[in-house]
Amino acid sequence: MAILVPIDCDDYRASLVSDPGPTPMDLDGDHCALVSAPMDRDRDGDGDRAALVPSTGGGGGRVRFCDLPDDILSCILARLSDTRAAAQSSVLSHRWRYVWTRVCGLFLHHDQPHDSSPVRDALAGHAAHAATNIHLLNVHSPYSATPDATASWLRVAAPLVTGELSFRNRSSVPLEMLDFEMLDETEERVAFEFELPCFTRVTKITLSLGFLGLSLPPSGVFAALRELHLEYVQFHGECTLEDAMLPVLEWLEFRMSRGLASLTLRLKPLILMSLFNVWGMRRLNAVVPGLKQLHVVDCFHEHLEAVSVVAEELEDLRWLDRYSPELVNFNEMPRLRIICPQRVVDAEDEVEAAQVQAQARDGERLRADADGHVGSNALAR
Amino acid sequence: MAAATDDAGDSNEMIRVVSSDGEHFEMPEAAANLSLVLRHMIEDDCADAAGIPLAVVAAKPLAKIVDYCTKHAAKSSGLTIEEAEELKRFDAEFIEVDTDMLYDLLVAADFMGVEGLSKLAVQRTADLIKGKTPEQNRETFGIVNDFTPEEEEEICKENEWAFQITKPPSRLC
Repeated sequence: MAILVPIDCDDYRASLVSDPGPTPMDLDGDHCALVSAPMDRDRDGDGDRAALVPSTGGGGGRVRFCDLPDDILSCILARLSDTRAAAQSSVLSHRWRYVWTRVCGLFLHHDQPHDSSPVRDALAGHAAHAATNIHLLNVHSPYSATPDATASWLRVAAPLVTGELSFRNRSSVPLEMLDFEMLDETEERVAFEFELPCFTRVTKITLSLGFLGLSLPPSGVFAALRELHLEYVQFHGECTLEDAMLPVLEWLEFRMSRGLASLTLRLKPLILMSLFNVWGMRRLNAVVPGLKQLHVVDCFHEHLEAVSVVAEELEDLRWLDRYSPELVNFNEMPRLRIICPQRVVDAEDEVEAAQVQAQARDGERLRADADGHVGSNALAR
Repeated sequence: MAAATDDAGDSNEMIRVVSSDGEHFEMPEAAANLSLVLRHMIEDDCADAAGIPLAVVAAKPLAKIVDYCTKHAAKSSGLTIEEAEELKRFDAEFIEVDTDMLYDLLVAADFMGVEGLSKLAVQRTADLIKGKTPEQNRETFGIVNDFTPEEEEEICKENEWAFQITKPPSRLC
């Protein structure tokens, strides 16, 4: 049996404070890596393994929450998932004044469409005491934020965020209503767009824009960005994504968007790509030599003009969309294992029956063409 | 002495622990293994009949922690939906404690490295803070306001974005 060796309370705190920060697995960004501290300390010593020693006496008194280490206090504030509420703790007492700036996941919103100053001020206030980088920034705007208001907080955030950026515009609108809006041909589509500034240290961006327009910066490198997810975006014609701007992008997803007539991709590291209900697409030109999975669903129905995909590593192709060998061109795909052509559904009337037939025909043709591409590899259907 | 060769979950060995105020408790080895600190003590052959002394943890919270670990260890893997829900109900009931006990659990779970319990106690504390004014939170957690009215006003001004629109957090803001 080892002998108890007292360790003073400051050492205990120091070991907590020296925790290097959340691991990449700490997805919720709440820095809850508390359990490592006692273990590390325990493992450091060779003779004092059993040194499980009090930092406070048990029991008695309620004036003790202030004694908790910073990491526990900041973990508690992180669990609020509401930075405004967390920052209100600054007024509790001196002990609490800056604890909220140790929280590395920020959840912010601005209610006024034209005024994103609450988000900007929060970012500036957090950065002013710089206890931690921002590993997660989640912003929502319940009503339709203006492009200027959106761009202005994004500019403040760009140098501060290191992990994940997520923005949802019109968060008070149910998604079904946005889906309906996307398909509504009568709706006026005016070009309101903001420019996404270059987030050089962010690894994942998710933007749900409530049909706000988006443009990319003319220059700059998203040097760490591995995932880009865009939904409910009003595009304006063309979009080109290239290695120079996105050198490490592995996953690209466009969902429930409109106005993207032509998409051009030159992305070497891309592994996963899905286009889901990008309504009204005409052209896709993708040179994605590392791509393993491509899913395209209901994008080209109305206006298919030309698709060219160079993806020699492709293993999983799901093309639930219009297909015509004259208009859709895949290069050789020797590794293709899964192909899932246009689904066939029961038709309600004659027009639909004709559509279903066309879909079934497209599917068969894609399969046949793909067979040609894969050579001797078996197709899983 | 726990046999180091035993698989963590399969051992029927009971592990003894001793609270800061000298009370002895027993729990299955699988339960003790939910604590990083206890696990390492067991691996290092420090678990014997005298019990592992936990000088940071008083008897009252230690009894709760033993209870928590025993319950969770018994249902650690391959949970059915019903079992998962039952465990959730157990957690919800378990953490319905006063702030004194909550504080003790926060400290002890962190110290012993019981991750699930740490998260549970942290979440419970956050839930208590949520939706309250600073004054109410001071009251709940026994926090003494050591600011002068001028300082308090300055902080509210500095973090104006946090205090505006929603309900005024205190008389001074």
